[in-house]
Amino acid sequence: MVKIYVNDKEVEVNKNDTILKALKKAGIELHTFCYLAIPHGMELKEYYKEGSCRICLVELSNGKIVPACAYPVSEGLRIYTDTPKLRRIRRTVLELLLATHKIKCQSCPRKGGFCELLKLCKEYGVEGIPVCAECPYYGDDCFLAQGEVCLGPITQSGCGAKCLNDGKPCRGCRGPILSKDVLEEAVKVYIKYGITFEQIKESIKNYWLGSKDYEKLLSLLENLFKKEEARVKVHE
Amino acid sequence: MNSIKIENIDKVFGHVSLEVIVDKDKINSRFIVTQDARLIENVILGKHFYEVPDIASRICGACSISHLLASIRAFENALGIEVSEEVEKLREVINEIEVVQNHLVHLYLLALPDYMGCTSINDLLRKDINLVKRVFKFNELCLKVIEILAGRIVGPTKCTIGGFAKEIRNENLNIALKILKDLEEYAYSTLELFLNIDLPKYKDIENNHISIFDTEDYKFLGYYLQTNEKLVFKVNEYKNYIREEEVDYSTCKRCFLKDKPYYVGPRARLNLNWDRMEPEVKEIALRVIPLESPFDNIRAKAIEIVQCVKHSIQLMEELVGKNLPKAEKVEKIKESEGYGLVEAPRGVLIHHYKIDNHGRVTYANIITPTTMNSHHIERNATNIAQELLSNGENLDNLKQILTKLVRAYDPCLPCATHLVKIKVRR
Repeated sequence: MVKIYVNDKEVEVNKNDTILKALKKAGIELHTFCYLAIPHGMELKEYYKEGSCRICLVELSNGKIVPACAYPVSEGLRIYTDTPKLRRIRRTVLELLLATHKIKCQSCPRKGGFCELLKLCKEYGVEGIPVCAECPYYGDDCFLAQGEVCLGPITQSGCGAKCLNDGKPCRGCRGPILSKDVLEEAVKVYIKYGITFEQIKESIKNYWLGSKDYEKLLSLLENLFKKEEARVKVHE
Repeated sequence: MNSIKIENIDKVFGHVSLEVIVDKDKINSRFIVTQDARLIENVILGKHFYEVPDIASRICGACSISHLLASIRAFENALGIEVSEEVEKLREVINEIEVVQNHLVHLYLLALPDYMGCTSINDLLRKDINLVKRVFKFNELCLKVIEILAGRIVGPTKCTIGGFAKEIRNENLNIALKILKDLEEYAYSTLELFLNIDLPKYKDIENNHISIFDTEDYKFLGYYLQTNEKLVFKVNEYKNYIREEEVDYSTCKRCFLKDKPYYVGPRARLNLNWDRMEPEVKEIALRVIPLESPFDNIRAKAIEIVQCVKHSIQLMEELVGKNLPKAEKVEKIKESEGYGLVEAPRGVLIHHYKIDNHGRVTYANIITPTTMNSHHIERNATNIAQELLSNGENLDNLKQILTKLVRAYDPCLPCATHLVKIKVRR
């Protein structure tokens, strides 16, 4: 038996356990996605490897970040399960996991029902991927580059970019993304192609006017546009 | 005063009740649409015209293609854009397949259970599982054609002002033609089934009909309207003939042709245009014409399914081997007024818009088939009630027949309620 400190609380655990096992025995929950890394049709035993999903990361007292499922405990080990640094990294990990996941799930009406991944996404504010991720155009073919207002950068993906594939710009049927980093990037793109806040506002009105997030989104966008325009001016 | 009310009629698109009021010797019917107002006409105001077709297509999920095409054609009419013959043909095919799909949903899923002694399609499933399987296969094939040619099933993405938003390739046309040829067999079996059904016999007294007029083909897209009194007028003059009226008890307007209720729909199309059908279909049509009872709608639909499938195969064969180019963007915008006329599955659909110098919509008026039919339903319900009550028929039977009547019209209430204006009283 060894003593470790979880979030500054003393816990006694078995000597040969990993951190994850030890925490489970001590009754402290950590999110894990071990099952996500297993391709369809494979047995758990033959494929399962520790440290493949990287969601169970914990921080050590020396600032090192390690996966709990692969790191052994030792006498006097101090670990933290919830720090700002950890939250930031977990967010990135979630986004990476989502990239190989079915994009459709994000805009599913049952969002956060049974799916562990989506529940965690909601908790960490990972809002999904914009339609641009599914859009077949890039460079000069982009609708924004042709001077048309496209809501792709700020709309939830999952439709397979149907309208864009059929030659029409995105009108935002699937609803907005509210996470700030996505909007920041989107505003950068809009300003690059010379599209103003007024144009976006008019386009948003068509389908999102009744949405509960409408006001919030509008104020967020307005601030970001102002900030970005000021930044561009200084740059010049 | 005595009132017979059938509330929330099932197996129709949307929410509707029918009330028959018996006041001494006078009988009055009310077609009460309880669907909430959708106000699409007001949503459109102030929008740039390029966005309007996509919004208009969301009026109704069942006949979104008809709304889309009507709206597109209205703006083309306003701005004087001429589309090529191929584009016109492909649009006709898309609309006709939508008509087939709508008809089959109504015939099998909504109307057939009534005449097979079932309550719903679930009941029918227990009786004849192969039939239901075939229906769903038929439906699936129709939707596949729409998806290949128009993009999306509900609110198609490929159609736009001036033609198609993306190049339509020959391969796609070939695939669609192949599926269309498979549809023929399903269409004929539908015809056989529905021509042999026993329908209630009742003569329609209000026999004013309106449909599209074309000199050569049994068309669904056009510019002229005709009545059964051989009156032909351009859609631009519709306001001289058709009068709209608001009513206080329903969220749906009603329409008059020179102060008379009139009927639009498959039966009207068949009665007025039967001699322009495909030769084989014409023979079948001649056996049943004239269709005088409102219940005959079901027969008209079955015949139209065959006609549409045959006609669209013919059109597609002319189209195969060509690539349809992408539509060009409209540059010249002027203040103008446009009318779009389409035969939707349930009848004549008129879109009327005015735009200003910047391309913003300043006026919108949409007249849908169910709005036109609503008063016709009321009149027929009154007549049937009068006839049956004077014969001493019991109430349950009367209710059943009136429900069947409403269902035979196949009213689409989401379409009908988009045009209500809100009055604020303080």
